Amino acid sequence: MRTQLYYQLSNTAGLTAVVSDRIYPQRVPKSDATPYVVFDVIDREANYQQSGYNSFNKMIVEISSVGTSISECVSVRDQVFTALDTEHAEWGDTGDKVQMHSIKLLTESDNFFLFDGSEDGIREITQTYELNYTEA
Amino acid sequence: MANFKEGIGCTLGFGTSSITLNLFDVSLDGVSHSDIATHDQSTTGYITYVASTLTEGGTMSFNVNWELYDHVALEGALGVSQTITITLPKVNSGDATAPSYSFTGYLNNISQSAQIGDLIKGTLQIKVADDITFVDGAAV
Repeated sequence: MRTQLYYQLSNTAGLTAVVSDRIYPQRVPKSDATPYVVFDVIDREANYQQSGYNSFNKMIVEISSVGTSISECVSVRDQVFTALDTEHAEWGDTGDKVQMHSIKLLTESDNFFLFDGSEDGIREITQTYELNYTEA
Repeated sequence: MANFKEGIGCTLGFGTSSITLNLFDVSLDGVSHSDIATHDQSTTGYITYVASTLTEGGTMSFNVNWELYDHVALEGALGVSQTITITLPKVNSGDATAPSYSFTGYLNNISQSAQIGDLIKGTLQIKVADDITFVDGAAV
């Protein structure tokens, strides 16, 4: 699912128009420019039945839209939301897709970080989403 | 060692209907005898009872993940009397026989629920309409 989430974000024209290819799983290159998107999986629940696991999964992901101003973060955040707002669509590249069911925005928070005593710092809007999907 | 087993790996078989089921919970409810009071004016102490001669077979209930490519067959099985076989998991994977029970029964109730963020689920109820034959699991 991480691969398909990355594919979905990096193949949404509105988002790449804002952040280019600066979409990262877990870790951001130290010298990279802003704005960018970084995401982490923070929970996954597989569905179980008498015959064992079935293909239905629930995953919670945290996605941060990072920029130097709150308006920049909001712009990225809006495009992330649009990229994910695709109930019943397939995500992923040919031959490596998952079937999405529902995508729910659970939480959203604003954060501000100072670096090296600078008053500029960076800002981020962090959202958590619940992704319900079926593996191929 | 006690012959316990977690409730995972159960299967349900219909004698004549061909239905794909994604079983979640399986329960056999209400296999019982009625209590017949036998006390009279001369009885002292506790009220006395005997068990009824006949056994009520009760109802089997199954929670399922709804199989959307096979629910026409499920509807078609409503009210159809047939052999129902429930096989429980073997105590040890190398056991020769899995515990099971079977009886003549019929599907008498199906219900379904669709909720955001979860699989479409359903509940099936099967009326036990005759004797239940229990088969013990066996190691050899």
